[in-house]
Amino acid sequence: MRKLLPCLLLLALGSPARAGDVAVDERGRSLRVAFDPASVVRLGVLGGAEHAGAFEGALELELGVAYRTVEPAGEGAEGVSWTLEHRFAWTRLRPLQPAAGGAPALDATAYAGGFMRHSAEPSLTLPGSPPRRVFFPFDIGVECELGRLQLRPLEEGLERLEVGVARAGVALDPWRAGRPGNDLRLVLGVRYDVELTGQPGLADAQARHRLAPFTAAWARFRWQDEPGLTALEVLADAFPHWSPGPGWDVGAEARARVERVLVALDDQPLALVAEAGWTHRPAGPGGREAEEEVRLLLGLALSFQLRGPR
Amino acid sequence: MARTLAWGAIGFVCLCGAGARAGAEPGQDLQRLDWDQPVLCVEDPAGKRWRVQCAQAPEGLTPRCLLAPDATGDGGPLQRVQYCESQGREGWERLHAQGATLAPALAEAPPGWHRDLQGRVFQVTFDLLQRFQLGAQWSPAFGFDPQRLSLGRARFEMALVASWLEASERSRHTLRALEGQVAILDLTSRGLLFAYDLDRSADEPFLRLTTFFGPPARHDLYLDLGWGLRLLGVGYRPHRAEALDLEVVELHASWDLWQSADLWSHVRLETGLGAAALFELGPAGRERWALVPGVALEGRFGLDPAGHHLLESRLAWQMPVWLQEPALGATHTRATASAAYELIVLALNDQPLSLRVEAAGSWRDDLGPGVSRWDLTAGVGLRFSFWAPARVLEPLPPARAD
Repeated sequence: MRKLLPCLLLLALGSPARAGDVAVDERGRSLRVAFDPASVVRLGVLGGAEHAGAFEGALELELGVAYRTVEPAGEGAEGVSWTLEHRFAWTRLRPLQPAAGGAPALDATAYAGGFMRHSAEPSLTLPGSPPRRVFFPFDIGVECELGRLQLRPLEEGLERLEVGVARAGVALDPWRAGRPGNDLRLVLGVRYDVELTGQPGLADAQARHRLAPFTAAWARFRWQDEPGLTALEVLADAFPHWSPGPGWDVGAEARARVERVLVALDDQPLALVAEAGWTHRPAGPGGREAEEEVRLLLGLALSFQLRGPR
Repeated sequence: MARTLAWGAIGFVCLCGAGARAGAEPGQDLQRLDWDQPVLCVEDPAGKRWRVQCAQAPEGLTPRCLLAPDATGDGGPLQRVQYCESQGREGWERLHAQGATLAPALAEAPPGWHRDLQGRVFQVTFDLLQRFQLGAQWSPAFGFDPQRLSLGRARFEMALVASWLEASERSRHTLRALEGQVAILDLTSRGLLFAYDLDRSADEPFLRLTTFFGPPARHDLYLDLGWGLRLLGVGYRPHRAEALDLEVVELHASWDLWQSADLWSHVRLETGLGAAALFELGPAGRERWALVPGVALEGRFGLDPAGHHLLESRLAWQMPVWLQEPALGATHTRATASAAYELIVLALNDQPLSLRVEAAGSWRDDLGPGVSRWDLTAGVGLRFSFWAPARVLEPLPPARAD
């Protein structure tokens, strides 16, 4: 929380881009040439196809706020830096697909954070006599997510709401790139979800609680180039969980996403976005069978920059 | 004889509206004093006064001066000259003592004015955006129905126009007031109390586009936006129907697709909303009020720097949305197109008289049955303009990198 509050304050005030982000052309005009894809107010439109039993067209709007800071401390072998990443109200809206209560289908996360510590020479100290210091080949950190709502599209009048109440995990990064936006996070943690199903309405919905007691594991690979023009993210997520009644089951998700800035409008980058995803949803309340979903999306995303990339 | 020929030449130039092109005037090779440089007045031994303007001479060289009579050919005082520093006979002797080279010349004239060999000055450029105008036209009206042909129609008009450039704001303000047109025989008329338009030349890009194909490159896009309004417009017997159009107010935004360096000429796209009414005259008359959204494409071109040629055109479309039962929410269409060319042919006491040729067409479907939807008019006539100042080009400094 001590880290989060200053970040929120910075976000509210806005931060200037750093000098290296701006170039000057031969006519003396300035132009921003480097961006931070993780410090933005995002507005995106994606279209494509999804397959959940049959292929259908898909249209999604992407909205949200993301902010990243890097806080270095120390120099040389003692150098340590924290990369703090936040996402607020990150929403994927499907305006053409009705869901519960007449609202459009959506997937929204109230808050998601990632806090990674990079050390120039990471080590473990083994208590002993004498104590021993051994090399530890990982950056370490924490990921968390609070309040994820998924309003699923209506299927034969069935209204579904999936609530990801909270998830958190400890992350290890064997890549140790030391550059924000470049990491390989292997995360193990806890997760609690609730799925509500009603027909009609969710007032008297059947619920299924899902608890993953340090059985949720996910791996997140991210890469971005130096000026922040190209960014890649690949996620693989599996969460064996326990539910009262049915007992143990497994949910899983995988997706890959690549963004490439094509142009900047008033120094705000407009990126081409390509995304592919696969989701395995475990069986739910009301006798719903497990289901698979595949999505392929292509679109444009305008990212209003909140600060410089580095 | 030569003087007579010169006068003839000058008169011809004026009549052709090409006074600025005074190359046809004999003696044109005479140099002229510069309006913007200081002038001395000296007196020769015969007591005749001269206006003198000397160029700065390098050290050791004798100065070169222009010498112009300080009086008209008939001995009267020169009009519209700059203040001169009077040095009398001493000044004359000083010039000769310096060995100055004296070249005969004509006295200076203000920008937009011309001084002839007789020393008389007259206005040769005109700003047709600043004038009070009176005009009369032969204005036949047509329709696609041959019975609507009206060849004996005449039209009279008046208007007040004022326009000025605010260089610091890179904008031009244009006012029109008391516009009126009356056609006799069919007694149609139109009037407008007041209109205002603002043209702007943006010096900041509306959108900066940076491309990342290859090395980053910046491309600036400019949008020259303005606005305007009209107050109290009236049209009596539109399409010769027994009706009265009333436009209470109209407000529009505009985008100059093209504009000249002094914003005098432009191609302008407008879109706006007005509040209007249509009164049906006669015993069963009724009134209908409407909101009237519309778009228009307007062109205004000064075809020469002297302001002798003006070309205007306008293409407009409006869609009145009626606000009263039983047609609440119903819409109709009004479309107009017009083009006019105006040429200054001569000036009387420095007030230009111009020939104007125009054509206009209108289509509308809100005047009820029995009224032609088309109305076509043409016009050829003269327009007399009062108090039109000299057209002085004041191009705005370029503010765009592209």
